[in-house]
Amino acid sequence: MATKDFIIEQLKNEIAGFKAEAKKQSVGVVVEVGDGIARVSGLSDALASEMLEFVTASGKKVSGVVFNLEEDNVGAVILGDYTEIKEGDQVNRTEKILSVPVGEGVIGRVVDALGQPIDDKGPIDAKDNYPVEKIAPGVITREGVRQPVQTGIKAIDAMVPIGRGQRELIIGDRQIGKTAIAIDTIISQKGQNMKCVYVAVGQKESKVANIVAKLEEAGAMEYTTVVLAGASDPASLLYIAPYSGTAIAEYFLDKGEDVLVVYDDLSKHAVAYREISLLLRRPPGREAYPGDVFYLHSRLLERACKLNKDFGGGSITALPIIETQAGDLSAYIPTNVISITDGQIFLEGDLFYQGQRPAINAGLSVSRVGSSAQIKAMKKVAGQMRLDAAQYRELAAFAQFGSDLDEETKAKLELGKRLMEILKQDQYATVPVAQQVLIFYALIKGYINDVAVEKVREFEAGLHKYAINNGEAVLKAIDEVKELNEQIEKDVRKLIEDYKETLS
Amino acid sequence: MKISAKQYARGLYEAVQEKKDGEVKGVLKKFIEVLVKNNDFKKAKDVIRNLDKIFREEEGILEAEIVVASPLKKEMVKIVKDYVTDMSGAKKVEVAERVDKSILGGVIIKYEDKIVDGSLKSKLSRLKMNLAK
Repeated sequence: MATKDFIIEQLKNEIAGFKAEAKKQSVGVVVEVGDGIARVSGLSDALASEMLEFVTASGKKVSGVVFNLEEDNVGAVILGDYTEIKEGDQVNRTEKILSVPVGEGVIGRVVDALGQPIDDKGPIDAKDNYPVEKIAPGVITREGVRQPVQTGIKAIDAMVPIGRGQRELIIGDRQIGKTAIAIDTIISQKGQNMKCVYVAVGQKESKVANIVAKLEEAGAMEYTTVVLAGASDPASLLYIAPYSGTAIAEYFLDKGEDVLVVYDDLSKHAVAYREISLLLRRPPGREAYPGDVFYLHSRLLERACKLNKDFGGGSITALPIIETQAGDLSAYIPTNVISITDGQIFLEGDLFYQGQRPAINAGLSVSRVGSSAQIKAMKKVAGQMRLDAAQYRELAAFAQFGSDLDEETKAKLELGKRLMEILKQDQYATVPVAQQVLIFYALIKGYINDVAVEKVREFEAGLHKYAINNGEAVLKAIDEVKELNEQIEKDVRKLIEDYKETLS
Repeated sequence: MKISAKQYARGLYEAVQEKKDGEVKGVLKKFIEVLVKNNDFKKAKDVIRNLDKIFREEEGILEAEIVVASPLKKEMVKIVKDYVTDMSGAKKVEVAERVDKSILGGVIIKYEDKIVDGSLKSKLSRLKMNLAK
């Protein structure tokens, strides 16, 4: 048996060539443990945010991260099951900074905060490890935001456009469709040359399972990674998850690709950080958050960027989500994140319960990058739309008092009512940008004025259907040329007129 | 201002430094009086522990533990002692020997928060890991 001899020979060589050197290594001893935090004496040369290895009495190994470097001990956060760690257990250094596996292999997967798979698709084939914490790209590497992220949501693409590399906050009370906007945005990135990372922080696992199923159904998992730190995971994992998600995104950024990262949500992230900080006895400040919660979010969101050509030209677009209590925008975390981001989409409970969904408040929502992230055709039809929508609401409230209004006001009200109808959109029903241009064009040119308000949505659905069947060339032209030149405008007008003819 | 056990210990160590053996007793008495006055007598235990540490630190005495599979010969102990002295830069090394059959062979040296694992057991387990790769 040649093979057997060969194997034995190989083994002999391996063993002869193996040199076990005894290396000087520093170790620590657990002094105090509880609530996911351990104080470790020794480890005098440990690095900040270095991975540690706790060796329990039963020989099991639990990992941890150095969090506090103090005069005579080290405060460590335990990642995983801390119930088995006892006082006096040995702690080893790994000499590695906390990092997660990244690569093409993570696409389509559900991973935990440390990048380990938690779906049933087997181990992840990752070529590289990226540090979880990284300094954001500097000024020289960046450039202005200029390409749009098409969310497929009419109200957003028209009024608060989002650009590649922008940070747009989605803010609102619980249960009024914040996650829905983020998920719709991910779904409509199909074929847009975009990778997506959805980071779920402190979410119910059932909700995340639903989202993953929905993304799979829509074919969106082909370009999406879900990073999950569920409600039952320890605070340490909740704290790390957004940074891990960004590290996964940075791999694609370095390859010059565009990435969209959704952080759902950062209020729970701040709460998890507060928990860790208080357990480590850092002094509490406003709302008991530690002094560096601002830095917590600013260093995360600064990693969103649009790099210039010399540095690969990739981008990371960040969509952080913040949950408010009873619409209170002036609480600590909401004000912090509003000031960090390049604008916010404010969702309002009143609008939601009136049936205006997505419940975007046009007056309070802004995009500081603004129209440079819109295609020209959209700019042309939607330039004034945000102001119109905001004015309509005030006017409508005012008009309730009397019925004798002048013609101009009446016309504005009628237009506003129809605009509001058009901005309504069902969940998972994203609209491509060319069709958006079509319906908005119909609105501002007065083609919808003779349609009853309650029939507007029906009219719109019909128009989209008609356009797909009979006006493919026009839609394609808008997509390619990206502006409404004379020829295209003529075609669009004709398409709408033809459609109206079929109605009568 | 609160005085920590460490500060007490250092103070005591420095106070005793230049005293003759006869005077030490008086210093100690005074020290205990200070502890009682500051309502810090409960720290006495910590002070003693810290004093031990400071004394070793100042005098350059290092406590090391060596774990072996079977009791070492005198010459071997000296070799290990010299090795540790060399590595740690201490003036004097006190060695406590512990026999643990489960390490099979070789030696494990522990001092301060450092550990040098030269045991046969860990070498074998590393070899096992290497072969498994």
